[in-house]
Amino acid sequence: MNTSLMIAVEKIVRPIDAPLVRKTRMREELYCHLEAIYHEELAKLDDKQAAFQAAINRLGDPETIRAELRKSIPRWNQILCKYFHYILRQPGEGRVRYALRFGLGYALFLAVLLLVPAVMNSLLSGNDQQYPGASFFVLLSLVMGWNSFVAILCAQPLIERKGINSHLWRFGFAGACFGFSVTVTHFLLWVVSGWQDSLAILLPWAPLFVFCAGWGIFSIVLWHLKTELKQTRDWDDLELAY
Amino acid sequence: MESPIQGNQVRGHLDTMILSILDREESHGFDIVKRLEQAGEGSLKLKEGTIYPVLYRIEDAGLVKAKWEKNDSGRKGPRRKIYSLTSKGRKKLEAGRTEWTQFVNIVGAIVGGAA
Repeated sequence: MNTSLMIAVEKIVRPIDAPLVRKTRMREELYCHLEAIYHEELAKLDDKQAAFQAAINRLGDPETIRAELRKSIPRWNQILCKYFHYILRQPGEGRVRYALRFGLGYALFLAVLLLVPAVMNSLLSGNDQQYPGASFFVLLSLVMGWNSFVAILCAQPLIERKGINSHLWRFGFAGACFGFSVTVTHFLLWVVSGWQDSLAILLPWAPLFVFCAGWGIFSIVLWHLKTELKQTRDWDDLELAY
Repeated sequence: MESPIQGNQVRGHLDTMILSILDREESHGFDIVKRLEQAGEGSLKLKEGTIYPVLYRIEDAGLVKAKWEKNDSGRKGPRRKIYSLTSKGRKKLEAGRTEWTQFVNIVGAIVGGAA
C-alpha cells in the first residue's frame, strides 16, 4: 500500500467518531478510490508528485468529505464512539497504566450504573437484611474493576504477540464446549435426581467450571480484539502531520 | 465547450443520479463516478470523495445494499464495496424521476423565457 495515499485518507477518516467497522470501511473504500485515480493520473502525467497532487485534488477537500462522512453517522453513535475511544489504549501509554485506567474507569462506570438498582433496592426492601445493600453494589463494582484490571494486564502481551491467533481460538472453543457440556450435564442431573443432588455432585468441581468458562470467554474476547486491532494497526500507526 | 457542472450544483439530485446509475448495473464507488461523468458527457465534474457519504446515507436508508468485492481479480490491498439497488431504492428512483420531470417542466417554463 502507498503510504502517502494512506496518510491522505487517514487525515480525512481519523478525526471521525464512528464505529470501528464503519471507519475501516471508509478507509478501505477511500483508499481504493484514491489509488485508482492516482494510477490514472500517473499514466497521464508520468510524474509521481504531480499525479499525487492531481489525485488529491480530484478526491476533493478533506474538510468537506469529513463533514459529509460525519453526517452519515447517527448522532448517538458518534457520542458513543467518542467515549469508547477513551477506553482504548492511547499511543505511548504503558500496559500497567492502561490496565489501571481501564479497571478504575470500569469500576466507576459500574458504580454509577448500579446506583439505580441499589437505590431502588434500598427503597423497596427498607431494613430487610435478606436483600443486598448499597455496600454490596460498591463491592461488586470494585471486584469487577479489579477483574478488568487483571484481564487487561494479562491480555495485552497476548494481543501484541504474533502467531497466537489459532491457539486462542482453539482454547476459546474448547472452553466454550466444556462449559456447554457441563451445563447440559447439570441440567440432565437436575432432571433425573433433583437440584440438591446434582449440586452436591458438581460443587467440588465448581472452581474448574468457573475457570473454564472464564478462560473460554477471555479467549474469545481476546481473539476478537486481536483480529479487529490487526485490521486497523497499519492505519493507527500512521503519523499525520497536519 | 460549455463550462462543466460542479458537484455542489447537483447536490440535491446526487442521490437520484446515483440510484439511476445503479439501476443499470451494480458498481463500486470509483465506477459510479466514472459512469456519472460519462453520462454527463464531460460536462459533470464531481469531487470524487464526496460520493461515499451519499452512498453510506442511501445505504442506511435501505435504498442500496453493499457487499464486499470478491477478490477474483487478484487485486491486492484494501477491498471495495459493490453497491446495488434494492426494491425500495427502485421505488425511490421512480419517485425521483417524477419529481425531476415536474421540476424541469415548472422551472423550465419560468426560466426558459418561452412567454
